[in-house]
This record gives sequence, structure tokens and C-alpha cells, in this order.
Amino acid sequence: MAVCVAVISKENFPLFIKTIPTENELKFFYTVHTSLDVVEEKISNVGKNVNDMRELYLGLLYPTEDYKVYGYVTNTKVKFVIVVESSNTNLRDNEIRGMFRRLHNAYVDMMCNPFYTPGENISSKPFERIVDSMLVQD
Amino acid sequence: MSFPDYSQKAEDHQSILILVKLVGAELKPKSFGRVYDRISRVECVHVPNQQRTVWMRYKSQYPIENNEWGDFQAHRKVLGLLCIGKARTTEEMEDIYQTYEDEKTAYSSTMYDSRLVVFGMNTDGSPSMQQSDPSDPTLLTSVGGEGSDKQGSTSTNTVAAETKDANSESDKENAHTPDGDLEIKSGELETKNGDLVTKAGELEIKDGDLKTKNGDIQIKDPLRYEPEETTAISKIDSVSEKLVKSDINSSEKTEEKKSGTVPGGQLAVKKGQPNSDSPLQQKKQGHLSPSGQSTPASGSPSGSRRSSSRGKDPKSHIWFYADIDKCPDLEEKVKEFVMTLFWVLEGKRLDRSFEKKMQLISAPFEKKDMVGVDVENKPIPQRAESKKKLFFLERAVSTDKSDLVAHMVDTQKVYRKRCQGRLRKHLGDLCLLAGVPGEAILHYSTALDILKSANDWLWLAAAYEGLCSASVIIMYPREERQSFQRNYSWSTKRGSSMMQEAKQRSSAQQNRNQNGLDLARVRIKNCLMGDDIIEKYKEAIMHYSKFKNVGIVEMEASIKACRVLIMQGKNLQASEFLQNVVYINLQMSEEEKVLRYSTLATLYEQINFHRKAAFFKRVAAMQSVAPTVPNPSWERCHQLLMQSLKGYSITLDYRERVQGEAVGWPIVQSRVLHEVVYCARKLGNVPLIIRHMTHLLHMMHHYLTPQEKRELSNLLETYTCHHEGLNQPIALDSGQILPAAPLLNLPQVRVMKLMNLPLHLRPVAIKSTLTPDREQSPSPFIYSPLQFSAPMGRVRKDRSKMDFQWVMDDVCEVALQVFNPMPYELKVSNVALLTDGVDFVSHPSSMSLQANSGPYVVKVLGTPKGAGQLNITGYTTTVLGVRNNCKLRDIPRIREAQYTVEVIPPLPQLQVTTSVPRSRSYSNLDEILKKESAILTVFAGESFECQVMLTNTGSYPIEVVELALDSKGKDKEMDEVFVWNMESLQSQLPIAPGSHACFTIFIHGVSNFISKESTVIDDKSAQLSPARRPRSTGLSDLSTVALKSSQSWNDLVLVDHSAKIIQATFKFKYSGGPGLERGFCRHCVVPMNIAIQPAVVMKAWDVVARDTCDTCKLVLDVQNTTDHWAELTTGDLAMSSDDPALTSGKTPVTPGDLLMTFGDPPVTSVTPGAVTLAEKKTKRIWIPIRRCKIQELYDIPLENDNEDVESSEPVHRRHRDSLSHHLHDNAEGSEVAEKIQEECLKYLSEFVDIRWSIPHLQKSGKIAVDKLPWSDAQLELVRETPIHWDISLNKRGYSGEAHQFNTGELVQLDVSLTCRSDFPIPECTLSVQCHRKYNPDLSCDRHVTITGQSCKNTPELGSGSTFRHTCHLTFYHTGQYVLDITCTELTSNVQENACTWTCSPEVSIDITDSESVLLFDSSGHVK
Repeated sequence: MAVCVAVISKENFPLFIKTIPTENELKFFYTVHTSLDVVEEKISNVGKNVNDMRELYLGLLYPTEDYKVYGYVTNTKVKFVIVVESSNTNLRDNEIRGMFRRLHNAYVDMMCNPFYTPGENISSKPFERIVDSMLVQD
Repeated sequence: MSFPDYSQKAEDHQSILILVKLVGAELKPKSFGRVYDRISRVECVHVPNQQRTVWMRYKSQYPIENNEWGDFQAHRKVLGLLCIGKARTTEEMEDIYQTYEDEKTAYSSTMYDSRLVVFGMNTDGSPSMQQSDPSDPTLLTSVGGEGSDKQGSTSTNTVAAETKDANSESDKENAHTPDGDLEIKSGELETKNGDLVTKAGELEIKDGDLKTKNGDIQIKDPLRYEPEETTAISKIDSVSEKLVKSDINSSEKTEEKKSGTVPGGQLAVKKGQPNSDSPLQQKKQGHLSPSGQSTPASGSPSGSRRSSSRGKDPKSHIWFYADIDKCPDLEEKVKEFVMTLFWVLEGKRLDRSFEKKMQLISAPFEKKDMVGVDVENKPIPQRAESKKKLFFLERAVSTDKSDLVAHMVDTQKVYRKRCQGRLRKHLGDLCLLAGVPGEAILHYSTALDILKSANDWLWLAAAYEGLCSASVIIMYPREERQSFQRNYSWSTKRGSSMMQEAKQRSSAQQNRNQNGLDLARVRIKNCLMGDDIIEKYKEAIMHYSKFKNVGIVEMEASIKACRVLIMQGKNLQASEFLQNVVYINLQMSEEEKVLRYSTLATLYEQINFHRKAAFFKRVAAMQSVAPTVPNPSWERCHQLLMQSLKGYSITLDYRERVQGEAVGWPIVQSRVLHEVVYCARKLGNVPLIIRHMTHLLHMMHHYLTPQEKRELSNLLETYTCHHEGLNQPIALDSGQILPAAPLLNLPQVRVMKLMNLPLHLRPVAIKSTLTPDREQSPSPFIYSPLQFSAPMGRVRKDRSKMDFQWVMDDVCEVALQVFNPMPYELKVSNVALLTDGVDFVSHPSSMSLQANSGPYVVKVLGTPKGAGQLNITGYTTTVLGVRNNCKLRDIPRIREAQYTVEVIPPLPQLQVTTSVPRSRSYSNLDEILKKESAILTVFAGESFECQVMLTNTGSYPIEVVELALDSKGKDKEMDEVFVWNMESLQSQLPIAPGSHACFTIFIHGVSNFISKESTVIDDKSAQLSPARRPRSTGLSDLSTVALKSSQSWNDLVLVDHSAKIIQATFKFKYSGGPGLERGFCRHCVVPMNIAIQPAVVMKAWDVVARDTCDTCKLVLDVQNTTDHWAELTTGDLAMSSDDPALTSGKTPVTPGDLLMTFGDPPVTSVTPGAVTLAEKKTKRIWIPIRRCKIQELYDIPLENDNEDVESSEPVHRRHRDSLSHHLHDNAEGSEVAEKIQEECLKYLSEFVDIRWSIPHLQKSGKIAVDKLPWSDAQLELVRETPIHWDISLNKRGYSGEAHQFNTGELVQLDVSLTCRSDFPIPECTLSVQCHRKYNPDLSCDRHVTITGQSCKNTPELGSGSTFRHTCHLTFYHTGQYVLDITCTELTSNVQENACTWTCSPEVSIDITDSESVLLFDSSGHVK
């Protein structure tokens, strides 16, 4: 499954980021950070047509040698980025969509917490549990 | 090809590549740069009479390996060479020329033409430094003429003329040079060349039917041989040139001389070569000539052309300029040069001679494979490992084996096709270069068709690329660069100029389409439209990717495609191409990798992928210092890293960053900043290291772990201990400026507060604030609900303005609340203030803050050195060896950008010392309260002298001093306690700096001398006043007295038995110097705590009437509360004393007792004038005093109305009821009563002088009797009545003692009233009443008979006049009787309003039985 899950705020700073090979965290940070360029570009392209209902799922942002980076943007411009290994070929687009949907639901649940201030780093346990379930288990 | 050109654009396919080279060492690179810039500004040339434009691009360096790819893509060829050098002397000129020749040789394979630009020489080529020789005018003109004619080389005539010229020159040479061989050779050469020129000219004229003349394509030889040819020719040129020169220089000189000169020597040396070369040359030419079928000259027109131009005059290849600044026609000449190139190109383009010849143009790497062997059949080796993934190419063309087989079968056919296809493609390239893209597209399309069928993938790709380029050129025509476009380079955003250009171009395109003017262009067949271009680029790249040797071409194609996409504004697709560039695996040097990554970064930036750009910038930076790099360039690394900062949203300027707001990715940011720091450390630039470290510490403060913070700080300190960190901006070599990065968080200042001056130094406005009030309300209305002037002013107070003043030359304080957020102890030094406005001298302070602690309040001191407005804008600190200037506006916690305070001119300073111990001047009131100031103990009635010394401790004279007393107690009392004389002080003013002034304050122990235990007694004494009150009003009397006494007691609550404390402060207002002129003064406060200790107090007090009307006695129970013996003296008054306990037990004073003892006091110690009191003992003392005469009281009209009343008894008493009524009724009356009381008290204080002294303590004082709460009745006794009563019984004057009579005896009572006051007494009723003693209510009508009038009206009594009345009394029973004689005023008013005087003392009569024994007969009458 995924090797890295990130939630990025509207202002493009990370709210939550979790990677599986934790020793190589920084690499994923760079990956996710640079993928924001593509996300922004994709959003700005669509944004011109107000009436367009934008598809939240952005699809493959860009492939690297070892990983594929997928993006998802909520209507409030909160970004979700999931990095999966390229070798993992049995992951279909639909499954990625499903992961994003779960992530989005978890995020919404987390937002419902009245003690959470938007813009804070996410420290919710249930949210983390769901993210954990999406990350590679081995 | 191993040197990729990252700046490639699709349009470059259209541009003629011109190499501009610096030759010789004389010209400085900077100057060369200027010339290069000027030349490179000539971007395009319009072909005269044709709607074509030739574009150029210039390179100052071009690797020969790249040049070799010229056949593959024509725009990679160097077509023109410009060498630029500087020479002053002929020798230098020689050097330059030699280099120029070498360069020419290097690029000769592709080059069409070349020029040498020489600066520093005269325009004729003579060295400017030397004495310029008188040059041959004819030659000059001929050179000039040739120069100008050159552009007109199209016309045959000119060429012919030139040839003639050349011929004539060579003729001359013939005439002068003895070396016939050379002459002939060169002459022949020239003529041949001349022929060639003519041919070339013909070629040019007959553009159309060139096909008839087309010759063989020389596969290798023309290119290979040409260099030699050119060198040979050029050498000949040079030789001939020199010959000409020498000829000119020494026109009439002999041969020997010539050969002796240096040029002659050179000539001799050079002669050999041409000699040996010339035949070869001839041979070659001869060999070549036949090879061309129809033309005698060589197949390449360029060759002939070149030789012709060279032949005619070598000097025309050299442009001489005196100076870089003096070459106004440089651009024009460049244009001319380009035109010559163009014509050669055009010739080539139109030369179709090769079409018949089967010749395979090939890329350099293909050649190796084809050497020797049967060329065609070998399939071009495919790239073995193609690791990269062309993800966007879904339909990768498969190269099946079946294909290969088919290929093999039909080799010959395929080879033919390839030749054709490649040729077509090459033609397309040439067309593009020659400015006919439409034609190019046609060629490319044809080539595509051919090459597809021939499976020539590499060239197919090249054809695709060419097609794309041509389409781009048509679709997005370039605008000629205008001068103002240079401004784009100033724009801050990189790549914006390109975007703008793209916009301009696309909009221009649209306009054209709308106008329909240029539709023809668009409609060119096979021209690709927007998206198709990209499709074809993809295809081209895909094909390229099959070959491993063309990686660079592939990469360049990707970059070109990317640039096209950028122009189209398709960023996402552009990013895909860039992504592909990343995966192209190239063997390249580390240096090139850096270049590649930075190019990628730049491109990413252009598509707004700033993060990606930053990433690659960083990668490039890392690459430039990779461990594999032999010479890591830290400088470059640093530069690249600095460029990447923006992409990570790191601002160098701390001001741009809003504190507390999360911006960017802290982890990534801190990583990058750490890298920057590391890089700077490697660079060893200490200020830079410090700046970066402080920046990191400041920016990433919230995200660094304590460990990191500690390490960073330690590291920083190791650098700063040798080199103090300053706060100036640092300019980098790259031109970037590193702004100061103050450590605003170290320590964190949360609150800044300007402190008012200490209380005793605080300036106070002398005048009341009338003027500021006016300023506040400029409107004429006193009150208006509409606030026009400052609508928000009232609501939000301006906190940046201080409502107090500072004083010049006085030390002022600012309090900072600081926190240490660091996990270690922080030492902060040099804490000072940043100010503007008035001069301000800060006194830096230092502090040491514990780890993670706060808040601390730090006081920063400073002295204003001028008067006016002072703005405090920030503070400075030195932390970790770094000097910081922290502006308030940068500190988010402090809202105000500055604090403003007014500084007033200097004021003097006053210090006050008193003789009272430890009662000094204190700085503020708090301190007074805090410090237990010493209490000066004064016994009640004692007086104390306090010396006050004023010292001027300032540096300005004190001109004005005022003293005011400020206390919590009653003012009146204070005025009595403290008495001073101001005039003595005023006379000592002004006090010069350093000098003193003294004056005295008298402190009196004011007290009412009442013992605490006297409460009950007081009531009783008031109740049992010896004066008899009327029966009718007795009850109400009692209540009022009780009320009165309790009231008076309330006032005395403060009175403690032990001590009464008085807190008072003396406030000195003083001013002087310039501050006084501004209307300010200072206050100095001296507190005084006085404890008034009772020494001798009264337990009871009363007034007793004596037997005469004029005197009375004060009866006082005096108690000594001290622990020592005390002595009482009464001055000149007599005094007797006894122990009240002895006589009357617990109730010390009762009227009866008093009366009883009055006549015959049981005196224990009769010491008139002095009584000794043992400690804690009480004694009763008797003081006879004269009654007080109060004359002025009768001024009051109320009294004037009274009528005198005849009365038998000389007792005058005012009726209390009526009086009290009067008091309530009439304000005037109460005033009068108060006045009377005051008078009486005054009389007592003046007349009764009781002094005490305690010898042991050496204290003495005066008892102020007037402070005792005397009741009205008692005071009345003290007062002298206006009516003098004279009473006699049986002709005997009554003097107070009871008279004795027998029952039945007739007693004659004579009452005479005398008015003693100056005013008449009104008409009264005199009445005589009798009642039993101690039983006033019992009627005694049956016991006594009054004969005569018991009541009689008296007339008005004038002053001094007397009224007499006589009546008789007869008593029937024994007993003690009292006669009540009153005189009541007769008024028309109601009875109660009348005044009543009662005779005092009462007349008492003892009646005894006639038989009874007389117990006591003082008068001696016995009945």
C-alpha cells in the first residue's frame, strides 16, 4: 500500500505527514513538497471555470523512479498526498481513490472535533490509526 | 556530442551560428564582453528586396565536437567566425592574426566566412602607438572601396573590378618582388580565384536554373581538403599583404634593404611554405576541377567564394578600430558579414547538384560504424539499456525483428531512401536557416515520408524535430528585439520575460489571423498546430531515445519542447518533458551535471514549479560539492543554495516573515538552512557563517530541538569569539544582499515600558493645565456629542505616546520584560536603546538569563541629552557574540512601532534632610509606606524644633521653593502641630548647586489631654453640672448633653491612651534653570511620623462657681500616665490639689463633693504653683480663675433685645432650652453661640497656663485646657455674665455660703441688678422662687411665704445702671432651702424664645428651729 501519507494545509504547510521507512523521511518530505507544484498547477487550471465541479481526486501527480505520487484536494484546498511504490503494480486507480476517500472521511471526522483549531498539526489518534491502516504493513 | 547546450530553443533551428571569439591576451574579458554584447544585439538581418529575415545566434565558446553534428542538424554548424582582439604593435597584431588563423582552421569544416576585429589600431591597420606612416592614399581608398563594395558582391561587375584590383596588386608584386616563382604562383592563383568568383557570381545571378550546373556531392574530400586550402590561401594572403605593406612602407628602397628588415625576414621564412604549398594547391584544384562535371571550380560554391574574397584583399577580413568605444559601424559591419554568410547559405540551399549523387549524410557516431565497410546495411545500434521510461509515449514504435529482416533484404533500396530522406531533411534545415520555414516544412514532410519507409529512426526524429521547429517559427513568429526589451532582465521574476514574450507573440499571432494578413503563412501545408507540435516532439524524443549516442540531442529536444510549452502556457505538459530530461542518462562531467540541474531548475521556475525548481537548485548545489568532484566549488554551492531558498519559502529578510505563522515546511526549511550554514562554513567566510546561523536560529527557532539549539549556539559562539557578528547587510559576490538577521527571539522581549521618573525627580507642570485642555477641544462648544477632531481618539488611547515627561540630563529608565526561550543560560550584554529624535546616551547593561525562564524585568538606562521629542524605536543586544538591532516594529508582541516621550529642559535636584532621625526624603510614596519610618515621639503639650536642610544636588540653581503640608489628618490639627516660617527660607533663595538652605519646623504635641477612662465621668460631669437647670427642661437637657458628649467623644476616637500617631508629609515644590522657564517644577516629599504620647491627662474636669461672681474655679483630675514623676506648675495662678480617691471614692467628682470641699478643701498638699504627680497617679487640682469678660458678644442684636429683669439672686443663667431652640432656629444664633464658646476657650488657653515637666526625661510641656471638651454649661460659668447680681439677706451680702435663719424669721432679700456690659439689657421679668435643696421639684409653698413681689418687671437697663428689688421671706419649717432668682427677657415673641439669666451661685438658706442649737454660724448671728 502507501509508503507515505501527507495532509497539507491550504497555505501549503504540512499538517500531518507519516512515512513508513522512517529513516528516509526527509526524502519523502522533499517528494511531497515538490509534488505541491503539480497540485497547485492542477488546481489553478481548473479554477478558471467557477461552475465546474472540480474532481477532488487529482490522479497521478508525477512518477519517480521508485514511487508514484497521487494527489487529492478538498474543496477547502486541503491537500492529501499519497506516495506508493512503483513496484506495487496491483494498485489500481480505483483503490487509490478509495484510499483518498477514507483519508478524507477521517480528516472530516477529525475536523469535527471542537478542540481542533484548523491549521494546527493533526495529532488525532483515530486519524493516525486510519493512516496507519493505509500504510504498508510488513 | 558531449556538450549539451541548455539554452536551446526551437527557434535556434532558424539561426545561423556565429562564433565570436576572443583572441590574443591584450583585450580584457570585460571589454570583450562589451563587444560581444554589442554584436549579439544584432539578432536578425532583413534580406534586401526579399521578405526574409536571417536570424543569428552567437556563441563565445563552441566545442568542435558539437560542430561535427552540423550535418545532422545544420543549426549546430558554426557558419561564421568573428575573432576579436586588441593590438597596439605590429608584433601583437601578428600574434592575433596567428590565433585567428588557428581558430579558422579549427572550424574550417563548416565555416563559411570569418572576420577579425582588431582594436587599438588605426583604421588603416597601422599600429596607433607608433608614428603612423604616411600611407598610400590609393591603397586606402581601394581598401575602403572594397569594404563598401563587399556587400555588393552580387554584381558581377564589382567582382570583376575586384579581380582586376587583385590582379593589379599582384602585378605590382610582380614588379617589385624578385621571387618570380611565388609571383607567378600567386598570380595564377589570383586569376583562378578571379575565375571562380565570376562563376560564383553567375551562380548567384542564375538562381533559377542552377540545377543545370549542380555538381557532385563531395562525400568527404571538399570538407577535408578545404582547411588546408584555406590555410594555404590565407598564408599566401598574409604574405602578399605583407609584401604590399613593405612595398608601401619603403616604396623606393632597394631589395637588400628590404630583405634586411624584419618583415623581409618573415617573408623569407614564409616564402618556403607557399612555395611548397602552392603546387599542391594547384594540384588539388586541378584535381578538384575535373571532378565537378559542369563547373571547372570545385563543387562547393562556398569554397570558390571564400577563395575569391580572400584573394581579392585579405585586409577586408580585418576590421580595425582605434578603440572599443569608437566603433560606431560595428553593428553595420556585422550585418554585412551576416549577409555574406547568408548568400553562401542561400547558394548551398539552392544547389541541387547533390540530388543525383547518392550520398549518405550521417551523424558523427554513425560515421564510425560506416568507415570502410559496406556502409548501408548495418542497422544502427540501438541503445542497449534504455532505463528510462517514456511514460508519455504509449505507443512506442516497436522495432521488430521482422522489420530488421525486411531491412536487410532490401538494403540497397533502403540505402537509397535514406540518402534521399536525409538529404531532404538537410535541405529543410538549410531552408530554415535561410529564412524560408515554409519551404523547410515541405522538405521535412518529404523527408519524413521517405525516412519512415527507410526505418531510419534517428533521422526521422531529427526530421520531426525540424518540422516542429519550423512550425513553431511559423506559428509563433519572433519579434525583432527592441531596445526596451532589455528591461525584462530587470524584472524580478525569472522567466517572466519569456512568458511575456510568449503572450505577446501569441497575441500578435491572433491579430494576424484576424486580419487575415498572414494567413498564408499559417496555411502552409503540413504546418503543425499547437498541440501537434508537442505530439511530434514526443515522437521525435521517443525515436531519439532509441539511440544511446544522441542523449544530448534528445535532451535538447526535450528542453526545446518544454520551452515551446512554456510559451503555450501548458505548464503541466512542460513538466512532463522536464521529468523526461531528468531520466536521460548521460555520461557527463560533474560540472555539466550542475549545469543541467540548474537549467532544470530555471525551467521549472518558468513553469511556476517553484518547489521543484528549488529542489533542483539544491541538487545542483549538492552536485557542485559532491565528494566525487575533485575541486568542490563551495562558492557555487552556496550561490545555488541561496537561490533555492525562495522555493522553500524561506525569506532572508526577517521582516517579511510574520512570526508565529507557519510558512512552508519547517523540517525541509531547517534542513536547507543547515546546509547553507554548512556550506558557508566550508567557504570560511566568517561574517557569512554568522549571518546564516543567526538567520537559522531566528527563523527556525520554533522547530529546532533543544539539542540543535545548543549545538548551533555553541558553534556560533566559537565563530563570534574571534569575529563579532555585526548587523550590517552583507553583499554576496553574486550581487545578492543578505539583510541583517537580528536575534529577535533571544531573548524574547514581550513588553517594553517606559518608566516615569522617580517621584522626587518627576517634573510637574507648575501652571494648571488650562492650555492643554484647550488643545484637546478646539471646537468652540464646551461639549458636543460629535467628535470631529479625533473620532477614535477617545476610544483607543495612543499607547505609544507617554503621558509623562523625561528630563534632560537625568537618567531615565525603560523596563523590558524578557524571556529566555533557550535551553541554556543566555548571556545578554550591551542591552541599550535605539532612539531617534533627541540625542540619547544609552547606558548598556548586561544580564544572564536562566534556561527556559522568564519573565525577567530588565531596566535599560539612558540619559537624554537634549530637549524635545524622543522616539524609542527598539533596542540593541549582543547575544552569542552577535550584535543585534531589534526594531520594535519587527517584534510581533509589541504593537507599537515606537514609543514617544517628551523630554523637557533640565531641572535642579533637591535633597532634604531633617534633624528628625531617619526621616529623609524618599523617592516615592510606596517606599515611605514600605519603610518603617522612624516615629518622633512627642509628649502631649511638648514642643519640638525640627531643623530642615535643603541641599541642591543638581547642577542648576533652585530658584523657587514652595512648601506644603500633606496629611491624612484634619488640616486644622496639622496646622497646630506643624508650624514653620517660610520667609526665612525664601530669603535664602536661590540655592546654588551644591549649597544648602536651612529652616526650622516647630512641632507641637497637640492633644486634648483626656484620659481614656474619663468617658463616664465626662458624662456625669456634664449631667451634674453645678449650675441648676430648670426643672421643666431637665430630661431633654440630659439627652442633649449625653448626645453632645458622645459626639465629642467620636471626635476623639483617635486618642489612644498610649500615643496618637500623625502621619504627615512635607511637599517641597522647587524649580529652577531652563526647566522653570518651560513651566515645570519638581516635588520633593519628606514624610514625618509624629507620635503624640500623652504625659499628663485629665480624668475629669469641671468649672465651679466661686462665692464671688467674678471668679470661678477649674477642677481637674490630673493623671500622670508616664512611668516617671511629673511636676505640674500653673504659672502665676494659685493651685491646690488633693487626691480625688481619698475624698469621693470611685466617682471622683460630684457636685456635692465639690461644693462641700469648696469652702474648706481637704487639702493634702497645698503647694500653690506646683504639684508633684507620682507615676500613674491621679490628683485633683483646683485652679481659681477670673471669669472671662466677653464684651464683644453683645454686639449681637439678639442679646441687645434683652430687658433687664430684677431678681433677688445674683445668678445669671441663660435658659438652655431657649438657647438650644435658638440654635436650631437661627443660624445666626448658632454662630453667636460658637463664637462665644471660641472666646471662652481662647480665654482659657491664654489665661490658664498649666505646665508639666518630667525631670527624668527632661521633657516639659503645656496642658492646653481649652482642648478639653467643655460643656456649654461649664463654659458659661467661665464666662462673666452681663448682669452683676448683688444679693443680700437681711442686709448681709451673700457670698456663697448658706445663711442660717430661724423658722418664722423674716428674711429680707435685696436683689440688685447691674448692667456690666456696654450694651443695655432689655426689659425682663425678675422672679424669685424658693425650693428645698436636693429636691427642686417639691413645692414649698407651704413652707415659705414671700412677702412682696416675687415677680417684677424690670425696665431696660443701660450700661452701668442698676435696678433694685426687695422682698421678704418667712420660712415655717426647718430645712435647707434654695432661692432661685432668674431674670427672663420679656419679648413680644413666644415665651420660649426669651433669654434667661440665673443668679449664680444659688442662694442657699438653712432654716433651723428657733430652739435648736446652731451647728454652725459663720456669720455670728444666733437666733
